[in-house]
Amino acid sequence: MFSLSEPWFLTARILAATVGGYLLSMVICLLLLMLTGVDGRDARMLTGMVFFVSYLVIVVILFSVSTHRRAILLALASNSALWTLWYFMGGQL
Amino acid sequence: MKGGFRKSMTWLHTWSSLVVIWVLFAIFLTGTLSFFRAEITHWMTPEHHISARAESPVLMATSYLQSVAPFGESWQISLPDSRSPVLGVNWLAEGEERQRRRGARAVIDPVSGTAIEDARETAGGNFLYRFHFELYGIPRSVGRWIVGIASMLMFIAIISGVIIHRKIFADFFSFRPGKKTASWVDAHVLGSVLALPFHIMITFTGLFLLAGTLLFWQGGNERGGQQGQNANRGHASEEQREERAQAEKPSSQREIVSLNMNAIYLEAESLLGQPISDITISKPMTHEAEVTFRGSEKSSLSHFRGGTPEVTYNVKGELIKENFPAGAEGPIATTYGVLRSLHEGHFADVLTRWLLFFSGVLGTVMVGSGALLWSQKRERQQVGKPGYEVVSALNLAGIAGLFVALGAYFWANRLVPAGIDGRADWEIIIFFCSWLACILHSVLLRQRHGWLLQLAAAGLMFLLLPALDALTSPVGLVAATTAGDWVRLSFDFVSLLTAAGLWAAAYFVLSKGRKSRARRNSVSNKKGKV
Amino acid sequence: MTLLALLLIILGFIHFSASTRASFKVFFGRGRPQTDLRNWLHIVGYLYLIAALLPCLAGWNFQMAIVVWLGLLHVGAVGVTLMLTYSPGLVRRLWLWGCLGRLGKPFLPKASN
Repeated sequence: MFSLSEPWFLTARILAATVGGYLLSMVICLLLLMLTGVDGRDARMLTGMVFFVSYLVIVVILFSVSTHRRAILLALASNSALWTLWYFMGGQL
Repeated sequence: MKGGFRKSMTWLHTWSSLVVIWVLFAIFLTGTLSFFRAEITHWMTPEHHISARAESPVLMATSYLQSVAPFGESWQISLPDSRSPVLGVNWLAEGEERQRRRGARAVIDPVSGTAIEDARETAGGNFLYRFHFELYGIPRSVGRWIVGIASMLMFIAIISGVIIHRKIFADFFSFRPGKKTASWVDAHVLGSVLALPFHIMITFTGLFLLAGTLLFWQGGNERGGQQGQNANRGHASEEQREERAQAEKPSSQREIVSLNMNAIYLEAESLLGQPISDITISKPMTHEAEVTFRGSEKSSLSHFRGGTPEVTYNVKGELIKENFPAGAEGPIATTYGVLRSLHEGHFADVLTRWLLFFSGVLGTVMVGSGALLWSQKRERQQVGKPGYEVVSALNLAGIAGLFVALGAYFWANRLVPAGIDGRADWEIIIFFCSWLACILHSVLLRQRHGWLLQLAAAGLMFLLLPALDALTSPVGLVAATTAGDWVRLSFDFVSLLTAAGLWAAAYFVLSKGRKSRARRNSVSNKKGKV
Repeated sequence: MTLLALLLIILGFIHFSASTRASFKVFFGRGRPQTDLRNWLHIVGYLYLIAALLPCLAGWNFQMAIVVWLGLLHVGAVGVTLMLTYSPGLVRRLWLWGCLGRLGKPFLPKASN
């Protein structure tokens, strides 16, 4: 359980979970599309289905980590790792 | 830390849902009603009630079309079905291209065989339907964002709720009425656990129907979930009447060719193996005429557009085309199609529709009881604190107030005069005005029987709805029973059930108030927090 | 078809409810469910629920049957809950006449307390 006496950390964690989680599941979808080679209409449908599940899982994970600090770091680290990977695989928006 | 995980999940569950719970309640309630969108619109257009159960509707429709648009480019007949028991016709006048609009439209009076004029303009079920995914009065994309965010929080709340609720089977069936917090917990758990598959399905599919808005980076389409088949059951507008007048002027001579519709109809019905809901005749009354019969049921869940089987005949009554759609192609499209039809319920027959409706009601119970549970749990410690007071005011306005607004909406449908301009908007304005009144009432006068008053008001309105229906419709309820207008009767029945529920809730509030007063008088201190 | 499926589902859920501590005494008078008994009741309950799928399959095509079945599960579960709360006598009667799971009880090894 995290304490509520650290409002700034709590806010940062919520941001990490919402925005960071959004970006993370976005890159997961992009990577998935890249790996499966699906495109066009199918891609849009697949993203629609995968995105929300991965977002959900990420938010739950980020809120289950024991401290605020660790959760924020986890969000930052995983985001930068995956976005870098995506960039070097030649990803374009 | 084992306990830490559960605690943080509880935190997540509480706050992710509380932030948007009133939006969710409104979405769930209006969304549940949207399963019966066409049916509600039928109820809200009393002028069409006389159209129920026409005898030999096909002949009646064709003879009407012959009289009104003998040289039309195409005719379309929508036969009465289980969702909208009226006989409607559409046609495109000569030279008119098939555009997005369906052309002129009329609903036929089975007694005289002519169109029913001046049916009231109503917002009908469509308003509720649109409200449930893009709210109202704000830009569409903003509304969709709000609904999307609310659904995502709902999704998170459902899953974290499953995580914190360890003993699924242990209190699967227990409901302990009359025990304050325990009863609310039970109601919340029952509403959620018993229909868990439905809740997960409806939230998830709702999310990806909004994916076009929420996943803005992939340049998706904004039109997800807009096309309903029976969306526009309106009446002929001014513009369309002009078109009709034009259509009546024959500009060129055509040889009149008549078809033996009845024989083809019977053959098509046996070929399709299901009731026919739609007939399209292109180039009617010529030698090139083609008649297409469309079935009413989708052959599979994986269609999300079209997908009903159809057969086409030429003028000699020979079968020239049949189309039994095979379902979407590829695993992704199939999955998408199945999920999407599940949400929209296009596939649903009467039974399935009721089952979906029932699950939706459970979802509404889940959201509502969750909201009340929050304030119930904090009643003792937090009375008077601003946060608590805001939540209880919004609970009252968001739950009881919404029922009042809905009741007012249906009443407005019958009481606002049929002819005035912008009538449909008036219905909506009355809906929001009464909701606003409830909000003001709950902010200012909540302490004095706030729940009791609003529940009783809503209960009274829903209780009297069937009476109002009987008085303001050209067809009485007895006649509707003999004519078999089950759509309308079901509406009245559900409205009575709603009234019963609201009155039961009001009674509950009343007896609770009495009890707590009695307790306050006697020596009172029970366990502090539960 | 629908009614048959619903009946089977209700009977199935009654097995589940019999295995919970809260409503155990409605069915067995006193005591609390032992592990063996509980597992046995769960198995029979699941069999009932699966059996309810058959009438659904008979009435609809495969996809629709699943949807109808799930919808009826919701209705049945709520029905059993309300019956247990407001009319336990009816549940007991259904238990005596329709629930085969009850017959297995004497054959289970007696758990030692």
